Amino acid sequence: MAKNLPHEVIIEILSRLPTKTLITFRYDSKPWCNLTYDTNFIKMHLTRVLERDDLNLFVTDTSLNHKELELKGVDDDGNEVESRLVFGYEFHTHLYCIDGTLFDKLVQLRNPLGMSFTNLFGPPFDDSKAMGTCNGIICLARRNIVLLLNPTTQEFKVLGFGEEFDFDYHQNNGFGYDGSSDDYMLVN
Amino acid sequence: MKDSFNPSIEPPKKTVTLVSSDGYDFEVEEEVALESQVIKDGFEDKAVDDREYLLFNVHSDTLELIIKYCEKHVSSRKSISAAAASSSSSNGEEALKEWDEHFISVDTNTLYDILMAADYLNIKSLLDLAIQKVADTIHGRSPEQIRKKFNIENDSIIDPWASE
Repeated sequence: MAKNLPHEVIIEILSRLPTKTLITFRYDSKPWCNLTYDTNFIKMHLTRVLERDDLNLFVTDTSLNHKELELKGVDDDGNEVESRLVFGYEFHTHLYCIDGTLFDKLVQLRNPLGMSFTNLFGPPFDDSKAMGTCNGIICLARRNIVLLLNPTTQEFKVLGFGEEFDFDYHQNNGFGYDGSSDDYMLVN
Repeated sequence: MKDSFNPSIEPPKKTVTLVSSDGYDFEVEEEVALESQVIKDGFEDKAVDDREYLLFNVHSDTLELIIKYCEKHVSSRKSISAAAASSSSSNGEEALKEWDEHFISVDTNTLYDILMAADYLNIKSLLDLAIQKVADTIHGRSPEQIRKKFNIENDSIIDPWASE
């Protein structure tokens, strides 16, 4: 088929592909890899995902006594997914994702800052508190350290705050996106 | 004189002539043609008797489909807003979505022709529909397969940082 689609149309088409497909682009070539890191492209892709309601992670604090949090959602392939985050008093974090249309497959998500990660910020993030999820990003915290984690791409960012901050001490925290400043916010 | 007050008699519909790349004339109602942003832009500046558009990039087979789509959308919008005005329940939007899905379920060549024409004529809703359909067909493909499908010879066209 000898059709040369206009450049913007090709980008539009690629922006509607599932994240899993786009991740494979990173192993192909520099230009394809660059595309997946481009801020505009990422925003286009996120807009499409949210439009289709493909990314539907949400957090419920099921019981304060058990200190258990649950994340549920649907991934961008349309498979129903349930991710669970559970922690006890000592804040033990597990990331799960239930795959398959019948919720019949339980997949433990790798926490890139978990046990295997020797980090500069002290003990691994297996024991951190779940602060919430937004736009496919999970936010965890331990005292004054905040971890932003994208379980699909396994990318993460660690933010250190001043000693006066103690994020896991407060019960009511919220993690969200602020459109006016185009940034993520942690509220308590 | 009396007739002009009779609401049952509609004024004659204004029409526009669209000419396909292979030289066929299509006479369509003005509001149908105005679904195309390209036609809409500068439409008022064009003389009424000169409302003819030569669409060099659209073959008659494709143009026929495009007109069918625009006519359906114009008439559906009217019936949806009429239903809303009389506050009667309507599943118009859902029915239109179903119609769209059926409309765009075509072979790959036709799909690409529609996509190119919707881009050329700048018909936003149709362009979105066709783009989503193409994205669905390349779901899970490798860059190599996508390159072949879109005739991408030079990867730099998809590189956002290539021109920097």
